[in-house]
Amino acid sequence: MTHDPTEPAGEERYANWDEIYLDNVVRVYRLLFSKVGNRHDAEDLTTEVFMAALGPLRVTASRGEVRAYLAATCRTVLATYWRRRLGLQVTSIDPDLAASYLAEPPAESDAPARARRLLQGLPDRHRRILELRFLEACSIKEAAREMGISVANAKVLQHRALRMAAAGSGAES
Amino acid sequence: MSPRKRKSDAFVEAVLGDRPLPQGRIDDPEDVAALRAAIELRAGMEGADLPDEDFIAGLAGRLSDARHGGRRPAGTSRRAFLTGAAAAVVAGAGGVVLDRTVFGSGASQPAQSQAQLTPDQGQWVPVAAETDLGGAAKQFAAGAVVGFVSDQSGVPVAVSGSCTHLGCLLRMNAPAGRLDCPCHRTAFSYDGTVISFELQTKPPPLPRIQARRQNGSVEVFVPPPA
Repeated sequence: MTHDPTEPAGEERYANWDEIYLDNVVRVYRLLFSKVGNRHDAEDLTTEVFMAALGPLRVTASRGEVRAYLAATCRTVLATYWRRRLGLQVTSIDPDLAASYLAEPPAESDAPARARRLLQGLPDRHRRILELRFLEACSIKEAAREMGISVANAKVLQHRALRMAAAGSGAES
Repeated sequence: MSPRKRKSDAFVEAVLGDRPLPQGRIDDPEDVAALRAAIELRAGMEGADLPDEDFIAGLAGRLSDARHGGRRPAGTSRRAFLTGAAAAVVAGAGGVVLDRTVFGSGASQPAQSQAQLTPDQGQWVPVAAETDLGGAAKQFAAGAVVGFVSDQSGVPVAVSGSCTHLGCLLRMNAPAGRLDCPCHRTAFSYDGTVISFELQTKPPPLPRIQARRQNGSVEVFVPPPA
């Protein structure tokens, strides 16, 4: 899976299906994970994308075409997922974002930067609870202990902080 | 901004617990935005978006099976094709079980994917003769555990006999080669994969029970009788 980063834009072809899979599965998974935020759904959707691509996608297509096809499939699979799960699309895949995840070499994930942007500007305690819970995977108990507050207070703080962060991220659409 | 427990917190908690998002409805745009923020924050966790190696290998096997074994008959729906391919999955998993309970590093929750039921204290109980496992599955009851055991490419595979939706006892549908739930028409393959369902959300696959061949019998590992 090592490719010369300077290789021309996706004209090369894959040798076989296994190569298509191995070259793209991690990219597809990471793209989908960034939109569902949990491993199980990311795995399910990744499976769906490749299963769906299995029939129509020809091995003779160029790398660029394969990636474009996978990117489009990711978008529709995610849209269907949200429609079924919640009846409305909570997240969507911007074509540019898909392209960056599937690019050769893949762009550095912007997920950590996006998370930091969300936390920017929050009051310290609000930022801290979200860091502990989301970025450091602390349980509510651990987070409460770390911050020296009760579990009940930690829950309320988390609830408010998340809404505050969401409200501050008007750029996200 | 009310701090009272909202229904939508369940979605945020699922993200925090690395669990699949539950089926449901969110109406309040503020809740939708909060869930979106939760997903973005979790995606920013160091290493969170690195896939599990077992998953990568397992899906490679499924795709390979689907390409080579699962000829797609004309007129078959994509779903039928998909689930047909999935039924072949575990063939490549070797002797025992896809133990998906070890689940990466940081996040602590096991996935909704096929679980394995392994009692802390258990015993191997013979439930079938090797020769019983021809084409169909065989139902067994060993102590409190009801399940089905079948031969998957030469490997004995046992699954729980209770539907993962509401726990209804499954019935063998030998002509169709599957296990049917009488309650909501969910169907599972003998290896526990969901074949079809009419629920809003796909139910998880049937948990595996450890199984082995021993002296001409097939045995399962279950809790000792009370």
